[in-house]
Amino acid sequence: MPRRLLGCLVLVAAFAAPSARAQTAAEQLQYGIEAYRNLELDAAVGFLRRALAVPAETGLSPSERTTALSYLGAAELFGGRRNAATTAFRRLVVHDPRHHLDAVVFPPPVLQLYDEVRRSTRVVMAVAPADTAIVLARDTFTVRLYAAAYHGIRARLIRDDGSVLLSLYDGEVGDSLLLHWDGFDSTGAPAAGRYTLLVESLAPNGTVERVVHFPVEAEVVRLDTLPHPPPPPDSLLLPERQPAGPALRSLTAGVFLGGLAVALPALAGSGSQAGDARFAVGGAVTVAGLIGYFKQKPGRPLPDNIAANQVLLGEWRGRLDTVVRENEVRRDARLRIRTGPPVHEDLGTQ
Amino acid sequence: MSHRAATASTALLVLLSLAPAHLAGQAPVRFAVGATAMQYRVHSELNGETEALSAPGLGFEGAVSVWRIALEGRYLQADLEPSTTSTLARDAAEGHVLLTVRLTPWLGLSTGPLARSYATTLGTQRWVLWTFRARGIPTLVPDLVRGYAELWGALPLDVSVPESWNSGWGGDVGLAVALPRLPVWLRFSYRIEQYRLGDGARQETIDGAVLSLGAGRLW
Repeated sequence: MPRRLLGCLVLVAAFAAPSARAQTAAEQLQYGIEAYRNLELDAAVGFLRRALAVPAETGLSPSERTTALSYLGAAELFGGRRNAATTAFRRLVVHDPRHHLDAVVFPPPVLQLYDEVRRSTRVVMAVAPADTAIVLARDTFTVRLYAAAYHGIRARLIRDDGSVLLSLYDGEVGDSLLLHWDGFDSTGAPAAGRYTLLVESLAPNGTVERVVHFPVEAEVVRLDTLPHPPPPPDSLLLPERQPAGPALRSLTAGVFLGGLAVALPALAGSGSQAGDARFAVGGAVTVAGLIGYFKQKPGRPLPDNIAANQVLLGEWRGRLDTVVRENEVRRDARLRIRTGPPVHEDLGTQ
Repeated sequence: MSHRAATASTALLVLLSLAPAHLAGQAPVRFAVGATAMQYRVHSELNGETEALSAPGLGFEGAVSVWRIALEGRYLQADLEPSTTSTLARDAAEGHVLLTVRLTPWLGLSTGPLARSYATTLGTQRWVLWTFRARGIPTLVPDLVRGYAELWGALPLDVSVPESWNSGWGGDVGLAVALPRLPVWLRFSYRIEQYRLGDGARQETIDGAVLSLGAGRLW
């Protein structure tokens, strides 16, 4: 029965080839999954391989690729092609070392084979920010490595000419590992330039099994410091102590007008005829001048002016502190680091 | 001559009002009205004879100010009683209207007519004068009390006495209290006017303390 069904599918596939080519990778993936669920394993393998064969730019997304490889390994295993299943699962581990098969979807034999492949596949996945900047001597550029199995790795920054700029790590990796780079080369100088970050997964005998590498472009950036805001000019600051002028003016005016009130008749040459009310007026005006003098007594603190000046100076100090803080940040040289997509290479020793 | 001087002084004040000034913060239009009381004293000397009269006078005053220009008026009357023998009682009534321009916050110039009449049983004597005034209002107590000094000269427009005009001047000195939060003001001053006519044959002196209480904004 399966042979007869397979023959039909091959015929259908042959006649449907032009339309199949027109199908998208995602549709191929769906057909493959449906065929797998219908136990049409050869058809499933065909659909899934075609889906995975589409170039990455127009093909499956990373998560769809994970799904396709999972079903392909399972279909190959149930189709009796254990080596092919192992190959598919190894591709899956290389593609996403952190991936685990869903135990609800796949039966134990599939899970068991996948775990065997995962434990034996020495590969790491590197995750780095695409574009970032670090303050030299303060920050570090960090790359996170995820490993499928415990194994030895060697991480280095390589110059374009192939020479090693810096060795970042040489040792074992378990589940994950953080690589830190302070932005300097081995001589302590800021490492501006184009490099390749190379992570080699090593076999127990020290040979390189797989590598993952991605381009790193580092550029030293220096920002100009900002000028300090000028302090408020004296013309904006109010006197904080009562100046002598207003008090003396009040006193002078009071005494002068008081005397004038008294002397007005005498100035007119009719002092003997003038009434005495002028003395009362003169006294009142003089007393008012004295009150004005003591109310504006020189040297007396002026709380309103002091408060207004403090507000003004406080605003200026706030702006100054902001600039000082910003300049402290700007004074530090920065290294802008841009990375490209990681590339895996299987050296075929496994 | 006096009419020309009156016209010229009024025109000068109008021109001065157009000059730039720094009176920012003042309300565009201000009003002030008040009641006035004066210890009205008149001292007349004519050919060596002296007449002295006095009485409390009552009246009112008001002012309207636009920007730096003010129009001010005052009316006062008193039933003067003689304090010397062989002197007739007089009913005195006087009023003035002034156009004032404030050149600075504490200095202003004014001009305008001053009219006064003395009514006795024998008839009425008129004094219509044109005055030119300078007024200073220096601050004594900030936001509360200002000094007040006004000096003026006068020219006759219509004076119904036979003697020829020699000179006339006056002065008013005192203080004004304006409450900072209430539109209430009080002014207390001493005023004196003196006119000489007939080469010294006639000398008229009016003086007394003036107390005014009002509402609105004086300055």
